[in-house]
Amino acid sequence: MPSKKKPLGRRRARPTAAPKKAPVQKSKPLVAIYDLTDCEGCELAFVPVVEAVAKTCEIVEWRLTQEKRMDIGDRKIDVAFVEGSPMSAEDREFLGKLRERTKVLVALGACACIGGVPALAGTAEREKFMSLVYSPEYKPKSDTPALPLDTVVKVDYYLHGCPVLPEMAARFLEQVLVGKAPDKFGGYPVCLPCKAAGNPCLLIQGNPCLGPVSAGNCGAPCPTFGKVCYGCTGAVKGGNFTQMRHKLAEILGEEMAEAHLRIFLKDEKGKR
Amino acid sequence: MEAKTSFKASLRVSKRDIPALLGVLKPAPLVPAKERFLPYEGAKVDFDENLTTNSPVKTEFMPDGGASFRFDFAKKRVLPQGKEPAKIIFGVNPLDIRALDILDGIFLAKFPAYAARRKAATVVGAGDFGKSGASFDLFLHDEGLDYLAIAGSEKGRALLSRHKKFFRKGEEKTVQRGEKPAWDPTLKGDMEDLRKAVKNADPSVWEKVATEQLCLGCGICSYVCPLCYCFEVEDGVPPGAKAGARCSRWDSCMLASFTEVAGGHVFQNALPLRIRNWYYHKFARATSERGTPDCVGCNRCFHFCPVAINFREVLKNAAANPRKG
Ligand code: SF4
Ligand code: SF4
Ligand code: SF4
Ligand code: SF4
Ligand code: SF4
Repeated sequence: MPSKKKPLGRRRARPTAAPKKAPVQKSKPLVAIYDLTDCEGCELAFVPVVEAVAKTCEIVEWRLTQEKRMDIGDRKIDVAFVEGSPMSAEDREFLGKLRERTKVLVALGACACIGGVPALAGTAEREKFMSLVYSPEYKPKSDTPALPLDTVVKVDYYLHGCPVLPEMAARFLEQVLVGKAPDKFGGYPVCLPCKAAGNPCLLIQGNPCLGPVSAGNCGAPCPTFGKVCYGCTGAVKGGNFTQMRHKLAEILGEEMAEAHLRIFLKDEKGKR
Repeated sequence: MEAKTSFKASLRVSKRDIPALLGVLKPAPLVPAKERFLPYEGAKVDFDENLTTNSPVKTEFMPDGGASFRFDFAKKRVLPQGKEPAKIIFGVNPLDIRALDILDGIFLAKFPAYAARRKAATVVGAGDFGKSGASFDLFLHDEGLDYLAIAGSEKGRALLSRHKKFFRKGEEKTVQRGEKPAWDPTLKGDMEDLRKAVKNADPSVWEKVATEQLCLGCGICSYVCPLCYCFEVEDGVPPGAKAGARCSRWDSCMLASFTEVAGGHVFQNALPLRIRNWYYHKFARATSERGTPDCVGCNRCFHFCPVAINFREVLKNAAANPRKG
C-alpha cells in the first residue's frame, strides 16, 4: 500500500485533476472512496472489505491507499463512498461536484450518516476552545458544526456504524455492486440482538444505554461487552425519543440526557 | 412427549449430586439457569416466577437469525432439512415447558427447522412439577433436598438409565403436572373474561402505557417472552458464497417496522396501537384460537422491561376501563 504523508489537521478530499493513467476496463463498476471531517476509522475498517470484492470493481480513487487517482474521462463513478462530515464551503462544493459525477452516493460511517462523534461536540463554547487549543489568530475553514452528509447533498444509501462493521460493510458493498438495494437500517433496536445474546440490561442497572432507540443492525457488540450503546448506528425507525429522554434524564439529569441524544442529530425523517 | 397429566416416579437425585451429573452428561448440557443450582447443597431451588432466567426456552428452538432452510445457487435448489446437533437443555423452568406445549402446537407440523431442533434436544425441566406443561423429556421435581425424576419420554428414560448411579430408587409417587395454566392473572384465571376485557378496552388504556408509563417501544417484552414467536424473514448469503440460508430474525409488534409494507406505509405507526397489538394478540386472539393466552405468566416481560411496565397492572386497567359508548 503506497503511503502518502498527510498534513496534520483536517483532511479533505480534492476532486481536482490528477495525472493520467491507463483507461480502465469498461465492464467493472467504478468505486471511489473519500473522506471529510472524521477519524478515517471507517476507511480502515473498509480495507479488508474492499480487498474481498476488489476483483469485481475498479477503485478509481481512494486517497488513503492510492498515490494517484485513475483517469476515468467523463465516465461516471458508479459508487462513491464518503466518510466524514462536511464543515466548510470547500467540502460542500466538493460534494456538489461529486454528486453530479456519481450514480450511487453512499454515506460511510456515523459521521457521514448522522454527524457522529464530531457532532457530539457542544457548540456553545466552540470559539473559546478553538482559540485555546490553536491560537487566537487561528482562522478555521469550517463555517458550520459537523453535519450529516445529506444536509448538503442527496444521499442514496447509508452505511452506519462507528466504525462500520466489516461484515455489515461487506454485505452492503456486495449488494450495491450488483445493483441490489442494500439491507435497511433501523428496523429493530439494539435491544433485540442484546436480548438474543442473553445480556443483563444496563439500562435497568441505571446506565444510560441508548439501545432502545438505536438501530440494532450492529448486533449489539457494546452491551454484549458490558458497555452502554451510544447510538452509533443511528436511530431506530419509530424510536420513542420522548420516553428515552425521560428515562435518561432520570439517570443523568436533563442536560446530560440532551447531550447523549445529540448523536441522533437526525432520525430517519431527518429530524428529532 | 406424553400428553398425560399424571406420572409415576420413584427415582431421586440429591441436589448435591447435580454438579457431578452435569459434568458427565453428553453432549455437555446447556444450563439456562445455572445459578439456580448454586449453592447445590440444601438450597431451596425455587423455580418461582421471579426467578426465570433471561433467555426464554424459544431461544434454543427458534434462535434469532436461525436458518429456516438452506439453498444452493449452483444446484438451484433448496437443500433438504438436515439433522440438528443433539443437545441437552438442563433445568428448564416449568413455565417455559408450558410455553413449549403451545409453541409445539403452532410450529412442530409447519416449521421443519423448528421440528428438527426439537427432535435433537433433550429437555430437562426442574422446579415445581405442578406448574409444568407436557413438553419435557425428564423433569426434576423439587422435593427439598432431592429431586424426584419424572420421565416424560423415551429420551428421558434413556438418560435416566445411562446415569443410573446418580439416581436411587425410593418409594413410588404419583405426581400431577399442571393441567391448566398456572397463570393466575388478574381476572381470577378466567381467560374468557380476560379476552373480552382486552378486546373491549378503551384506547386510553394503551395510550397511558405509552405516555404515562413511558413505554420505550423497544420490544424487549417480546424478545424475552417464551411465547412471542413473530419473526422477520431475511436471506443470509455471505459475500461471494454460492449457498445461503433463509433466516428468521426475531421481531416484535412493539416495533414500527413490524407493520411496514412495500411502499413504506406503516399500519401501526402510533405506539399505543402497537402496545394494543401486543396485548390483543396474547390475551384475546390467542385465547379465541387456542383457548389459552399466549402467556404462561413467567414475568420476564415485566422484569426485563427498562421502565418496569407490569402486564398484570395493564390488564387490570384494561378490565376496569371498557371502551366508552
Ligand atoms: S442493555 Fe441497552 S441494548 Fe441491552 S436491552 Fe438494555 S437498554 Fe437494550
Ligand atoms: S451497540 Fe450502539 S454504540 Fe455499539 S455498535 Fe451498536 S449502535 Fe453502535
Ligand atoms: S419492554 Fe417495556 S418499554 Fe420496552 S416495549 Fe415492552 S413495555 Fe415498552
Ligand atoms: S404479535 Fe406481538 S405479542 Fe404476538 S407473538 Fe408477535 S410479537 Fe408477540
Ligand atoms: S407475556 Fe410476559 S409473563 Fe407472559 S409469557 Fe410472555 S414474558 Fe412471560
